Amino acid sequence: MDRSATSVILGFLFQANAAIVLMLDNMKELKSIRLECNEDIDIELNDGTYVLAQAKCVEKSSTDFANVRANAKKAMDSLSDGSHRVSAKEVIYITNSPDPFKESLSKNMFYGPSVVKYDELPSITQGLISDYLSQISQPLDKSKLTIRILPFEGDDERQRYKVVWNAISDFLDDLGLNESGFRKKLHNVWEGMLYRSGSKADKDITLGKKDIVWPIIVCVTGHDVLDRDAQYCMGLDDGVFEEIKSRYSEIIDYCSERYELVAKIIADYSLIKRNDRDSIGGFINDHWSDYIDNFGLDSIDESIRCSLIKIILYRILVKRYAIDRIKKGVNL
Amino acid sequence: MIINNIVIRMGLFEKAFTFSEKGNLIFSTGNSVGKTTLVRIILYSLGYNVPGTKRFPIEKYEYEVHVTTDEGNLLKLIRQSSEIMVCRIGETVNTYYLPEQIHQVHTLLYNTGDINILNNILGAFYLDQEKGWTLLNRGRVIGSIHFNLEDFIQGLSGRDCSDLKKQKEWIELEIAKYEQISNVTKYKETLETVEGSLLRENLDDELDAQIKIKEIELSNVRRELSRIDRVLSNNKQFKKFVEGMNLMVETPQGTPIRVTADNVLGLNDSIEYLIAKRKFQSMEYVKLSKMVDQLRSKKKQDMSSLFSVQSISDAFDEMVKKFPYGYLKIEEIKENLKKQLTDIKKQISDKTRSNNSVANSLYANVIKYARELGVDEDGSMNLNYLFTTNMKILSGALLHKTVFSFRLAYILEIKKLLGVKLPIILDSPSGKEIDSTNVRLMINILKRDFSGHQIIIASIYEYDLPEINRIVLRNRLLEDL
Repeated sequence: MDRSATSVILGFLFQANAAIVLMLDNMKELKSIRLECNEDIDIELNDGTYVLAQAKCVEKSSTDFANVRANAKKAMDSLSDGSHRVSAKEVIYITNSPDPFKESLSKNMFYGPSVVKYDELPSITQGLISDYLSQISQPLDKSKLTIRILPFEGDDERQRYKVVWNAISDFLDDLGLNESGFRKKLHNVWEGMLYRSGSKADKDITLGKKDIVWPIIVCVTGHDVLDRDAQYCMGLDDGVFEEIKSRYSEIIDYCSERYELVAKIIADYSLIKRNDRDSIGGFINDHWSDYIDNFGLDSIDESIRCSLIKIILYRILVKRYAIDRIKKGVNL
Repeated sequence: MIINNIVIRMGLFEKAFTFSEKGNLIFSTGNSVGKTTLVRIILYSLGYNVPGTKRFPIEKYEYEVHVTTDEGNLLKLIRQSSEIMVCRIGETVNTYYLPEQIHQVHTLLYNTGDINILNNILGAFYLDQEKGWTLLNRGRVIGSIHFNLEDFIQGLSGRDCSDLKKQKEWIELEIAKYEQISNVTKYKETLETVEGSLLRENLDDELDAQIKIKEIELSNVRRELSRIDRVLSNNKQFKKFVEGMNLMVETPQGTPIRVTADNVLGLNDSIEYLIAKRKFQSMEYVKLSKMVDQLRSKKKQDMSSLFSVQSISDAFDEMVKKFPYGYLKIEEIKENLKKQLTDIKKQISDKTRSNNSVANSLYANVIKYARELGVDEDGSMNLNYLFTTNMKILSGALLHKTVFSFRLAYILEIKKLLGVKLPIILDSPSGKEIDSTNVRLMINILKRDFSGHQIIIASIYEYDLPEINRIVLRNRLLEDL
């Protein structure tokens, strides 16, 4: 993706990132997310209601306020229209401008990433919005309106994505996943799925919940993370571990992803222990030799084979544990 | 050998000069009227590649020279151009291509085929007005024609040093090469000192490496994708199998439940997981493919500008950096070669000088004439003086007279060994620092010991030679042509 974005590309990038932030906020109840359908961003919830958002990006957001009011007015117009077409639970105007109404009293409220409901706005800003809405035949319900500021500026992605990355970290924290090493990877995938590039510009983008959640699982059960755990948990020697990783990675992948094998191990483990991460190590050490025949690794040196089977078992069981936990956490 | 006459031709016009078999004086009262030019024309017509003079482009004319050899043969040599010479002896006419066949022509004139003699013989009998009077035993005769006394003696005495000379040439060539390499290694050291990071890496190599790395990554991703697809299709088949079996199980409460993919623990997950994993890999694949395309097109652009001046100098720097030897190593090799060269030179010199009757005879004649001319009054000239490289001790008139003595000795030696009476061609023998007394002494020797030789002198002075044939140039040499 071109990071030195022109204003059009920047607009699309902002839209995708605003969608990520709103999607994370609503993950528990989220059914699907759609771009460019009713509004810039439509989030359908499990109860059939919607979170609708208009996203407006200003290229030089910290210095250019020339069009912010016009943007806000347009957003109110569009959100009013959209909120009558579906059952809207919340309508959001999300922008990267720190002074979205070019108005000094409300300006302080919008410093940094902010979420401000209409009711919390100073009366003068409320008046401004009311004025916009008064010109619309079927205005939106102000009590459902939220103004969100998502800082998003600069060519350096560390600056531009700072707030989005933090939002992803917070979300993973809430799921009890403290590994932030993959937040960037996850962000990349989500942004890729939600970014309306030239080729996708004329189509809407719809993602179901599982489209959003499964990448998290793939990241969390990323091999490096898991295998490091496995090495620690089984007390594997560094040299042996590295040899196995470099020579047998495809075997490990294959064995730990093939359902027939996975099903057997999960079933065996479920019968013996509860689904609990701490007990996984004990199960593997006691039972790894039961699976020698299942993996067909006869030709491999015995000590290597032992560690190899342990790594495969660990990966299967921890992945299962992670899948259950995340699915539960996000209500999938 | 006698040069009888010479004809200069240009188209239909021609001009002839006739020479006496005794003394000849090419004379003019002033300078720059063509005396030196006429002398050079004689040499040129004999096949030598001598340069013309300022106002006379020698190659533009055709020359015909008639020569009587010491064996009594009459030779007509026609130099049609710088490359072609026709030679007629009686009814036999041969064409020679110069300079490749010059030795064949000169064999007819000088009665020898020895290369060492032929290469050096002009230095024996011709004294150019500029360099000639300082040429003692080695150096430039005229143009690209050199004289080397050692070679000359080797030829006259039949001592073959050709193998040693080949070795010498090879070593000299090597030394010249190592001089260049030494410069390059010196440059390499400056590159290394200046550098650190200043020098650009070979962009081409760097780009190739980047492309290679990305291609490897790409092929890894491709392999991973196909692996995922294999497992995915495996798991999907299993799912189909499970659903197709229409199995029923009973819960502990006794309720029968149909087995579907949704209630087989982890089955759908195993598929969803792989689909999501595949998505990651696909995105990676697209990203890497784009990168490879970009790098390849960048390489294409670079290739098209490869031959700019900048990139040639960069390429040179790269090459130099990769050269594995340092300055000191090269200097060491060079020193070694120089020692070898000195050794070979010594061997050649020993072979030439030691116990050589030609050298002894030359020396005797040099001493005889030098003393007669008042050089070596203290008797310090020994045999080795023949080969001296120290010319500084001689200056002005002394050098002039020593050179004359050497040349006369060479001519006598040729006469003795080959039976050839060489002409003696002296351009301006009355140099700046030689007084009339000395000139007279020199002429006396010529009159006394070289009366059978043809003598051609170009000068603005008169000389006391018997039956002298005066060729007087009044205007420019070829004004009448």
